[in-house]
Amino acid sequence: MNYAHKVKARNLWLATIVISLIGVCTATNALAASRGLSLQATNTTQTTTYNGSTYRALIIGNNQYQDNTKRWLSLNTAISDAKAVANLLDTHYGFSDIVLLENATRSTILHALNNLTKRVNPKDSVLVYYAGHGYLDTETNTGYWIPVDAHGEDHTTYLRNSTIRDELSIIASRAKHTLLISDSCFSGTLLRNSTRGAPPATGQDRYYQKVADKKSVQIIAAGGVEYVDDSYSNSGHSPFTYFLLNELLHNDRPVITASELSANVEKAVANNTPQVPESGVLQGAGDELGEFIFLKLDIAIDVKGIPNEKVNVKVHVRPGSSVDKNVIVTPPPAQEAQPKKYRHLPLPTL
Amino acid sequence: MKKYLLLTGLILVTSNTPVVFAQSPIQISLGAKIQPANWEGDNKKGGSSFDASGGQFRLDLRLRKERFYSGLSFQGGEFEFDDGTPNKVFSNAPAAISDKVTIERGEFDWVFGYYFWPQVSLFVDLKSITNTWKNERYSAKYSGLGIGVTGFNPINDHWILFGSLGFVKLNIESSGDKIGDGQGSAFEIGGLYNINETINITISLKTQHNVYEFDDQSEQEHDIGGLVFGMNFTP
Repeated sequence: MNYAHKVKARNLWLATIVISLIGVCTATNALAASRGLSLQATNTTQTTTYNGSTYRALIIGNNQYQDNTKRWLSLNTAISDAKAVANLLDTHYGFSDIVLLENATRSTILHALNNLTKRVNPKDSVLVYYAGHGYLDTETNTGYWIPVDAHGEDHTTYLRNSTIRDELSIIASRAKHTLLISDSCFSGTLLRNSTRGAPPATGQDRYYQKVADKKSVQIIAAGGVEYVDDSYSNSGHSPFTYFLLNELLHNDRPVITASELSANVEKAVANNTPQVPESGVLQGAGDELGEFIFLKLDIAIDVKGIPNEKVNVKVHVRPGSSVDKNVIVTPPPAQEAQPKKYRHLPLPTL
Repeated sequence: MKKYLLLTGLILVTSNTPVVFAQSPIQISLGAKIQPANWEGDNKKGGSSFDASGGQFRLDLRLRKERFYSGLSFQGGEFEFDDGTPNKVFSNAPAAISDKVTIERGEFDWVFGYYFWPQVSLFVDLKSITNTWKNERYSAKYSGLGIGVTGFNPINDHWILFGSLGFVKLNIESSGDKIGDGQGSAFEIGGLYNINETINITISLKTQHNVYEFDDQSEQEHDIGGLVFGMNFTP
């Protein structure tokens, strides 16, 4: 083959690859989901602090149940829920310590809670999120999380609510703010109802400062003592997590408390599905009617709310980023924002 | 002109995605690459072709701030031509004494890019190539401005597919005098493996195709390509 023929053949080959490449790059990240067990700690380069508080999260998503008795069938959305929550907390809310557990066994969950306890400092804000099966023993009125290695009706392979409470109480005893978000059936059995006041129309800065200074141990549950759905309108998320992500993503205020978040999520879920989320406090864990504070990174902090000097967050307003809160747009972009691992891509040259 | 305006409008409209890139300080990456490469081409006038094998070593410095990135790349290597060599245009230098001619090739790139879309960015490349005929008093410098598109797609937690394509217009000089013009295209596709949060390795296939038109009416076509092995470090 002479040089001219070689060049022609090469150009045809290149054109085919270029078209394939463009297709691949613009396609959604359909292959990204991992079904294996992974334990991943992430250190962000930017952290959110509020009065010196570090934001930490343990995120658990259980899809692949191993129960050969078929009592616990696999779920579809728990892992994508967990990943989306982790991604959102990382990219929009400056959580600096995020551990994501996929398909976690009982032992893995307990170890992760134990490890989290060791990392917590007195001023920290700690969020624990669980998506997976839940169970209520109606005879003893005992609730459980169901790890992926749960076996049939053997309750000893489940994770009892009292154990979860104990672990969270230890974390809460060391942290300033602790928030458990549980997206599972019967998750309402974990909590005791409690009412906190809404922020006043004026003097919000004082309100946020006041509740941030008080210890909080809060829970937001996908439902009360009821079954909850695994999927919502082909969104790839459960209804509860869909609206949770939606609220956090489209929140256009720099500061939102867990109570405000849960009120909005409860309303949205109840308006669109038969289930009714609940929120409250963890009994006996030292809650002082404080509030877990979410600080959004990409909203100007000086709009209104807390004073600038109280918040150590670099802020930035992206043009056109304001969102009409009444409009529910697309499902939360789990893969849209660029995770840190894509930050060191090769330098392209010609 | 109209089509450029249309293209610009299309880019701006489609890039207005709801994606909010994570706030972050400037990220600095360092990279090193080696490319065992083949260099082949054609002296159009006279019809002689040439072929050489060699290797290139490259160092990259890359800075990134959210959607924007910039970087410097230095690349160098030697190619030994056994049979035929690119013509030395406008040269009074004596012909090579032996049949084997070695050309030292150096490349410098200064890149500016912007992620208009979450996984696809456009970039401009201030490029300079210097070919020096070793042991002969002749060198030619090819410099100009190019534009390109680059994209990536994650396959799983560790693997990322990436690629780039671009075009460059070149000005050719020898001994400080302009001797011709050129244009080139480059294409790269490969995979990146994240070893951990700070280090990744890459393997890719890269080709460069350049066409030179000299003021003495002669023309040359050059193709350089091969596998590229790299490692990047982001502290």
